[in-house]
Amino acid sequence: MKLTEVQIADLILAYHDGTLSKAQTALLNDFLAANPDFQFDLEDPITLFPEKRSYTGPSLLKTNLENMAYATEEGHPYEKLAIGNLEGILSPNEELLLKQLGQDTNYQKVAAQIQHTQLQPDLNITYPRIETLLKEAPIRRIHFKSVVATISASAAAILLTIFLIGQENDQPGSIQKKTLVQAKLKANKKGIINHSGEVTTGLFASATNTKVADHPHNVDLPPRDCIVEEIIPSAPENPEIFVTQNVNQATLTANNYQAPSTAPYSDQNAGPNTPEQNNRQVVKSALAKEPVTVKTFLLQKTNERLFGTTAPTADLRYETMARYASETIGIPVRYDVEEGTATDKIVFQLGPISFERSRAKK
Amino acid sequence: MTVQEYNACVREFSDGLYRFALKNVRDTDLAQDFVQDAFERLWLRIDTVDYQRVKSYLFRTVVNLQIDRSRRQSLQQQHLSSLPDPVHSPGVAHDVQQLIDEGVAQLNDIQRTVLTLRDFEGYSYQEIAEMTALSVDQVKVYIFRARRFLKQYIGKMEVLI
Repeated sequence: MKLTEVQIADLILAYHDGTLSKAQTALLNDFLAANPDFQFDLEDPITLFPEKRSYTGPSLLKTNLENMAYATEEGHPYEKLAIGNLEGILSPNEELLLKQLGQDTNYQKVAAQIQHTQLQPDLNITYPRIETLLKEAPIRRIHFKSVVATISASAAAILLTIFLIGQENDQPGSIQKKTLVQAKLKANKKGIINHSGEVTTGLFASATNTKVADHPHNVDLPPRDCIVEEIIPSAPENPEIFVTQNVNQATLTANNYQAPSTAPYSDQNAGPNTPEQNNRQVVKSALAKEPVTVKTFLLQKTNERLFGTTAPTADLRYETMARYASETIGIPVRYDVEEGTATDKIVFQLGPISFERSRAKK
Repeated sequence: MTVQEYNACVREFSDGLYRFALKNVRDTDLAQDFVQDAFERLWLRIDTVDYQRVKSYLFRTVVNLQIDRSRRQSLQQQHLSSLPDPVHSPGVAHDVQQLIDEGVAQLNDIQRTVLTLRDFEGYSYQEIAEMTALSVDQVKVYIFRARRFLKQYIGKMEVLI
């Protein structure tokens, strides 16, 4: 009797399950009689008991990992699960699956290998040139607008003050008045005019430097008026000629001719000198040598360096100062005197700000 | 960002940045130059770079420097790749860490970059994607491939050893 492998398996499984029909039992007995080797399979059956933990296998993994980020990538599901676990991107279902595979040796081996792929930085490696990267110098944030505004305002205030003071000093009336009083004081010190206004002519009166009055900037200096370079005429070689000239002048004086005074502050009460006095005055002036003090010398040199002359005018001073200020501050500063017919126009400019004033022509 | 904050960044990030660059370029001088360039660019943009995003800015700068260098040397690398690499021969490996280093050296540039950013600095996929101009999915896939390559490399080498 011949049976196929499938028929034999069905008969044996039905025998173990106890589901053999009468026909199958007869058929099995006939087969065993003809093939006694199969008796072993019937006597010692292998019974499998279900385990509490069910092993789902790769097919189930594949189903559950379809939604993973690596679904389209080639790789074993264990690899995907291990890498996903290492990356911390497993879904709850995948986490559950991972718990079920926790004791699986194959998965543990794969997981251990994947764990090795996590790179660990060598903390002993440090950047050797860190000092070159540090910036110790603080950044100075210069607010140019505020700085320039402050400097401009300060400079404007200073220059405006100087300008106004200069204007006040430049008033012809005030100068004349001041120099007149000053000259009187000087004359008084030298005994030329007394307190009652009477003139007491003397030797020192002719020696007084009348150019002091011409330079109002120097009126505050002590009586030794040598700040302005004075050109003293030398004594005439021929005194007779000089005396003749004085005589002629005396003649003119006798004819009620009054020579124009060279000193604007000259006291009208002083009156013209006599020819003899004039003669002595000239001789005395020629012989007098006023010493130049160190202070005066330095002042003259300083003026020469700064303003190009030993006796700078007020306008020259202001113009020079404005030019220096313009070069120093970096914004245009200008002081100009525009001469007119009757009055001079003084223009002072500091950046966008400008002042204009009129001044009586000197 | 103030100068003090800049100096704090130098002290905090220079080492990590150097390790990252060194891991990728495997050249100490070049890695130092990359770090120097990154901080120099940061100093030039000190007024525009936000202090909270300085680290990202620095690493992105180094990544860009690496990409630029790779582009410049692509022809040279093609030539060198055809030659045997004496340094990374399998026979000299002694432990797993050395195997890993060799495996990392054999990764392509982008895989190595994303993997080191991920493992060295712990950046998220999103941050790595922003730095490398990739999508998040691409970053995941590159990291997956890199780890799978390393795993297979370790397995083969362990068998050989």
